[in-house]
Amino acid sequence: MSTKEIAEAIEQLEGAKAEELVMKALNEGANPWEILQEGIVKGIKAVGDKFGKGEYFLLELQEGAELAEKLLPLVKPRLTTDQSKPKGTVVMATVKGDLHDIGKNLVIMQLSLNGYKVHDMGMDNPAMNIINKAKEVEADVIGLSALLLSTIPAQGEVIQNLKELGLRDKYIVVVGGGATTQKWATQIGADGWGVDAVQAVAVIDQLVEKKGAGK
Amino acid sequence: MDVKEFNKKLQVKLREASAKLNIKLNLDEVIPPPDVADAVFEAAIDYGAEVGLYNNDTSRVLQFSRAELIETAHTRKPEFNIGEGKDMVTIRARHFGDKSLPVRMPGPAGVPITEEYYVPLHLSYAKLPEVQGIVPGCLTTARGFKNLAATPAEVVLAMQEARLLQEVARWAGKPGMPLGEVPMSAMNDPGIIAAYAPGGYRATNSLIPIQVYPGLKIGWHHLNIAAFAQEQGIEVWGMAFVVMGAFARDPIETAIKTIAGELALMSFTNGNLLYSATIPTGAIKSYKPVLPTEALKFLAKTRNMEICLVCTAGAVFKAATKASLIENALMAFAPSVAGAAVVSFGESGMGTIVNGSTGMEGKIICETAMAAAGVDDRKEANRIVGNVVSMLMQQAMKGEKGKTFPECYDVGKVEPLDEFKQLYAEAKKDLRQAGIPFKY
Repeated sequence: MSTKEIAEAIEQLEGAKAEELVMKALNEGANPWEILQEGIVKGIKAVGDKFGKGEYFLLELQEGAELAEKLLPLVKPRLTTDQSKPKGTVVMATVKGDLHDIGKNLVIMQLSLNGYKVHDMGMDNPAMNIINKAKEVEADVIGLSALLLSTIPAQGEVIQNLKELGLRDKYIVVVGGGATTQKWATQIGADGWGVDAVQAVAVIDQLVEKKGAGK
Repeated sequence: MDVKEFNKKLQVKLREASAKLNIKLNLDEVIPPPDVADAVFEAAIDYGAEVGLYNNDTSRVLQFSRAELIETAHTRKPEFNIGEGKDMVTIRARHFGDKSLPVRMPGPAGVPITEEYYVPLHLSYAKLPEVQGIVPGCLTTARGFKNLAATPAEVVLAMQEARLLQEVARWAGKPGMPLGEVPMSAMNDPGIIAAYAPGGYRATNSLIPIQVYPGLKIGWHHLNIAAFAQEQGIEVWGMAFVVMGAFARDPIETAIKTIAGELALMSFTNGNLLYSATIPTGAIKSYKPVLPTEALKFLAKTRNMEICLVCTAGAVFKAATKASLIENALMAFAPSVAGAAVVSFGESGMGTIVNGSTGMEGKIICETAMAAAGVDDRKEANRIVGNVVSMLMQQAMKGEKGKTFPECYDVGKVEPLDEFKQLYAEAKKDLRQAGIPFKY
């Protein structure tokens, strides 16, 4: 029994097999931290990577996220408090006036698969609602999605409001969506920008690590 | 129903529908065999009846029966008039190999355009003799207001767009020309409805957009605009937006899901016109899955319905490049052969560059669509598409920089600069060599 088998079962989305392997490993006294990192996390990351390569689609991401939700509670009780913490807490929202959410949903699934706790605020969110949610859940990251040129200014509005409230340094703010670019992100003072859901995770990972947020 | 549950159902059922068809599409053959198109259409009716549309605002599913969807498919108007006076056009359902010319309504669809250039840039499309109507770009500002969605600025911008676009029509000498997918400068209900205030758009000269969102989602917005359109007698410029690579994996699934969404859309809007675009996720970038998907969608509908379909051309490459002209021609050709009733759009740079579109891109899609009319040999059409794709790939390697409208036009005269005219002539010569049978 190896953690590699667990990772492979998760990558293949074989839920029952993955669950059985995790339980077996725990009963055999394997290190729960290793099961988590080398088995579950690696497996769900592989699901995300397959999506990035066009081998998996939304359904597989959704199944991967559901599988992760099922497996994590098996391991978590055996971890130390520090080990069971998520990599970070993210508030994800499509900004005011924008009713497109497919890109945001992809990022949410990728973040969930990669160990973040994500609060999905849905579409058409006024700036202050997003900020209040970030305060409420003690978020590390605020992710702002917008598809249209007429809605991306609302991303800047969130950042501006954070500045006016003296909260800008408290949160990492990342932006994305069809009409956004790195240039736009820099212009409005965002901390990061991702071209797609896979890159978004890499950007957030880097920013969280740099800031020492999350754990 | 929980939205996650709906999302899962729509994907599981889509895969089942695709598996039941058991068709492997040959992506080298852009226009598919007729029996494939027919099978996809049938599958779309079954799929549409099974999943319905999800209303985000009520968390409920709008369910349509198979009989309702079939009735919708067979009761659309095969033709209707739009525009006023001498500029009125008849949009007519076309079919594969149809010799009648598609209606030409190009434009900088959705491209952000500053107030300064809004009239001349649109005039660069509208004044062309081939052009019968236009689809506008999006005003970035109006009277000092920035275009911000869901703010009162949308009302101001939408009303200003309507005034300016009708001014363009007058300047072009075509005051009654049809204006498609308007308003483009507003996306929320107050702005859209304000564009039809006195002095604005009229039911007789315009088509109002309603799009089913990705994942077969709608909301009160869709139903509000559908109610407004029906009360005012405005024809709908309808679409079901499907992202290939997300809920739908491939051309077959994309076509099934799109057509199912379109039938449901027409069921609640009573619309008679559909426009189409295949939007791939980042994972699918080549033309191969995009073009065959578009052609499949067109053929499936034109073979099984009397329906007016709009082909929306457009380019990833920036304006005033040979690559943009070739790409626009490519995107207009196959759907026009497959039966598009209207050829439209023709923007460049994925429609995201401020003032980054010109009438010359509109001209090439009009000329290409006219050339495509009457091409009735599937093999020949596929050979031409293959040639143009190869040509585009070679051109793409050259890394042309592209220009904005004021950089490649004499704005005062609304005429392309000589250099751009030369580039157009070269692109057209190459496209002719690739096999596009231009009429002139």
